[in-house]
Amino acid sequence: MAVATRHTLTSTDDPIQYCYDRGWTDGLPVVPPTEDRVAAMLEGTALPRDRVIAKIPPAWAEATVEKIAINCVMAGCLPSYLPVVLAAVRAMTDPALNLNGMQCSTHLSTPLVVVNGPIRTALGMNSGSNVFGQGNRANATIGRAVKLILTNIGRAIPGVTDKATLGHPGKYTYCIAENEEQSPWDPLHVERGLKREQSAVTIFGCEAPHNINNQASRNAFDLCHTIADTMATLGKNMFYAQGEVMVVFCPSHAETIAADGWSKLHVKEYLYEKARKPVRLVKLGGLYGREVARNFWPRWVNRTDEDEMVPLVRRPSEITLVVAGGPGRHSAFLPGWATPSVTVPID
Amino acid sequence: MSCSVHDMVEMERKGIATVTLCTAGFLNAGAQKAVMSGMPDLRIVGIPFPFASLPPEQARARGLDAFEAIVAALTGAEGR
Amino acid sequence: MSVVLLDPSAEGVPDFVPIADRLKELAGKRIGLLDNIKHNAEYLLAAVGTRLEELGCEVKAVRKKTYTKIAEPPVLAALEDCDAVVTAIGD
Repeated sequence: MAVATRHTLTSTDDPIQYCYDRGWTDGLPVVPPTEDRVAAMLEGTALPRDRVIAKIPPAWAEATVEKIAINCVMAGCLPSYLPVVLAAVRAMTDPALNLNGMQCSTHLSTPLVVVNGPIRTALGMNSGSNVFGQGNRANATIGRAVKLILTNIGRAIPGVTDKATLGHPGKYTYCIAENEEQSPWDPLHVERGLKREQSAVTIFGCEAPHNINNQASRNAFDLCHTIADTMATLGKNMFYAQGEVMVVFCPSHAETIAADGWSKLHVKEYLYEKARKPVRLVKLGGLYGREVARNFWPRWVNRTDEDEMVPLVRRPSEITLVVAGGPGRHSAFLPGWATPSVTVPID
Repeated sequence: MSCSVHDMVEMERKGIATVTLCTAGFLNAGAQKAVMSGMPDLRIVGIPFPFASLPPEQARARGLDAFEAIVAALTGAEGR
Repeated sequence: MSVVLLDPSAEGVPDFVPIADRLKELAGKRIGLLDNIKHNAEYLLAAVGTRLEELGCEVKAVRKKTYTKIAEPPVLAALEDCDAVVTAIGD
């Protein structure tokens, strides 16, 4: 793999405009990737700069450590963020995620980065108030680096190879840290078999967060009823695609549920059973409409029974739960694209 | 597969919508070739393997089975 | 001193171009069927052609001379008056 081409600017070139002119940006100005800045970024890893981490679809072009570092510079990352981005690239190119399909789909899903473990604190990441929003450099730039990699290296170009009908703002940046300190349950990476002290990245291809506003419920049943109802709406990708979904609990909601003795598994089982819609309604839209026999539903769903309740996902384990956010009582539901999330340790 | 993709890329460049059929095992190769040809969005529909060894009636049946996907590829009605 | 920027993008990959517009409808359209003469392709395309005619299309069957090479210019030229083309079998 050759090293990245060096572009020598003329004395009248503006470096920021140059990046725009080359199509290297997400529409916002980027930090021009000079030799010095990239060299400094590469101090964030011991890996050689020509090491190929993955091939990024749809171009299936090689993402070397150097190329990833260049995009990290452009996103505004600090060198200490590079290991997170490297892990994110490994996770999102896991075949199970089907990044190629997701990149090119008309659906608006895009990879969400969820960070766990001590690295959150080391990098000063935000897992509290406004966790999905602006304001934190690590959240913003790690998420942005991932997106720049998808467009610059993967060549997911809006309208050409990225066929998203609408897209969503997460395609600029989409990165949160889990609020492990205020969670009554095991954090996501521990649930998936890693040690609490091992930092990790999870990539989940999903829509923008759908808010779940519940101020009043003081027990698990009532609160989870609201969550299930928010999940089971028509127009949801899952009603025909099935696949994984995510619920992000604010700490207050998680506390209410856990106070009733509910574990993550209890919540998943409840939501799996209750987040459903009858065939009678689901067949009004979706992928195949009234041709219900063609849907990718579990075999046990009786498509000829109008009252049969169609689940969002095939099994409770396909509901991923994370705790994040600050004070207040708003949680969020994130429908997926139809492929599972992938968790990898950060080296 | 490579030649079929090349031919259809030429057609698409002339403004003519196309779809290429291949057995499922060649979908990935076709996709890769399309990307390397600069047209990653080229429509390719897979049919079950084996194909070449089938009697003519079954080969015709493969065409009928794939017909809906062919129409969807030509009209853009693939949904997701 | 000149500013030097490192290229963040995929290199060695051709610029992408979009595919042609899809057909809004099939009825009344001329659909080319390009047979690359691999075994059984003709039967598959014949079945597809019959169905297309049932939908109101005009069908134009064209054959390559060999599947080992890209189509000869006269073959592609014969398809240029089509609104869409189906080809089989990639393999």
